[in-house]
Amino acid sequence: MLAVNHSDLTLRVGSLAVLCIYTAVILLLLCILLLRFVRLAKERRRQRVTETWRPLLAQCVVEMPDTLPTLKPRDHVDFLYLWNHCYESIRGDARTQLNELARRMGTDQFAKRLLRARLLRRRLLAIVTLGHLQERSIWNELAATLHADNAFLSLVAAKALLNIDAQAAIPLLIPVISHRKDWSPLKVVAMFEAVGADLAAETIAKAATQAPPEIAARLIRHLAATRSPQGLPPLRALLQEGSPSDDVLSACLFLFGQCSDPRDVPTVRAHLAHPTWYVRLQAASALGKMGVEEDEPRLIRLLDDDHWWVRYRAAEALSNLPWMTAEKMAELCGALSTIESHEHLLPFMAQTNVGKTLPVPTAASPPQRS
Amino acid sequence: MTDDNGSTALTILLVEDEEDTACLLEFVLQKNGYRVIHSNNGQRARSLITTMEPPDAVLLDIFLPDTTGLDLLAYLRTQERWQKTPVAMLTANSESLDMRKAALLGANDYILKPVSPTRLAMRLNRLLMDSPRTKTG
Repeated sequence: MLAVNHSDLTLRVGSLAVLCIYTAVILLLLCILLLRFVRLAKERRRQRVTETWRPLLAQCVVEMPDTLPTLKPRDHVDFLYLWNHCYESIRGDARTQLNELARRMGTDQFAKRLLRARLLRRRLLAIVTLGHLQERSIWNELAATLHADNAFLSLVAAKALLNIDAQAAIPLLIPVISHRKDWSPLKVVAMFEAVGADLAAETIAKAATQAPPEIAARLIRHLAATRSPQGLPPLRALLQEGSPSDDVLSACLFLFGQCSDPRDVPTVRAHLAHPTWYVRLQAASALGKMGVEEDEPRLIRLLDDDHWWVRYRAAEALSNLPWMTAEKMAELCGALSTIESHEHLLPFMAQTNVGKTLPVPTAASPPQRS
Repeated sequence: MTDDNGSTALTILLVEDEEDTACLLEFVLQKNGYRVIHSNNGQRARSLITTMEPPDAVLLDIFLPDTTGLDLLAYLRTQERWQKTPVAMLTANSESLDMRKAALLGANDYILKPVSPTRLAMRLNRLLMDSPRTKTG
């Protein structure tokens, strides 16, 4: 009897478990269907917004449409994505018309409300939009966002500030650029694209002079990407006034080489005998780009440097000198006194001689290992 | 192809994968009186190059999903009928290497994105005026 009762109980528990599993599966299926339905509805709505607004935004670039459809609040986020994309696809006066359209649609007010959204992507969208709209009323809020923990959010805020008023934003940005380790120098350079290379170079160079060495060196190296010489004066002052770290020094020499301003040649020459090998290396490379004929013996001396990389870069710098011909290289190679210097020059000689048939250089007296 | 006024509209082949940008350029070009044929990928552009009569000019995006604008330009220049068709490359990348490659392959102009509608129209006008096809009728 007991056995039967026990089996009844097991059966009941089993049936209940099966029922529960079936219910859970059905509920799960319903959830999946519901999610899918919601996603499809969202996609359809997005498609509708795109189809309505894409041609209108394109038209707005040329002429303001007379009538505009109403924009439902739930469609506003999708509209913002389209509007921002269109704004970034054009330049010039057409942007003014897009701003006018956005204000007519109440986008500025909507974006301000979006600034307090829980989702990060919505906050980012709001900051980008308000930056494009040059909305001054959120200046303080954006300035505070520069110190946000999220690097992406702070970078987007910095760009928005630059879009609103570049001149006013720069004093705020310099200390932030010089202290945020999580801001990629590449992103910093890109951030300034809209405001012009000269202003970018000057600001980044000033930030570098205030930054700790590890950040300063990275910023200075990326200054070359701006292709502007405006970053050079603050760095020249930095080298003259104090004794910067070796990392900063080598970054400055790298930049001097990239910019090739003849005024920096004496500074570069002065560091050819620096005690740190990578400073000598950057000085040698820079001199290869900006040196004059009297610098050739200086570079030849570096072919006997203690450090392999310095010898290698000195050989490369020699081969890069504008007056260096294949014959001159062969002559130079023949006159070298050590095997190390000879070996370093050979690969660059081979590069210079590509496509030519030249006799193997024969040294009057074979070089000796130093 | 004639427009509403009965005059012949110049045809532009626009090869651009980005739908928003394509729509915008199409609108700007149509507003300036051009007839636009749009291709959003390299494969369709190739088949258009093979089958259609050469347009008056080509606007060619460098970055396409299935090929590059440079490859397409090289292909276009191998077609005898398309040898003299003026081509302007469109790109967001201002790398001089790309510009040099495009020039070597026979591009006639290089338009940087984001584009200014007014400048685009001016550059296109100049491109068409300089074109040997336009000059020789």
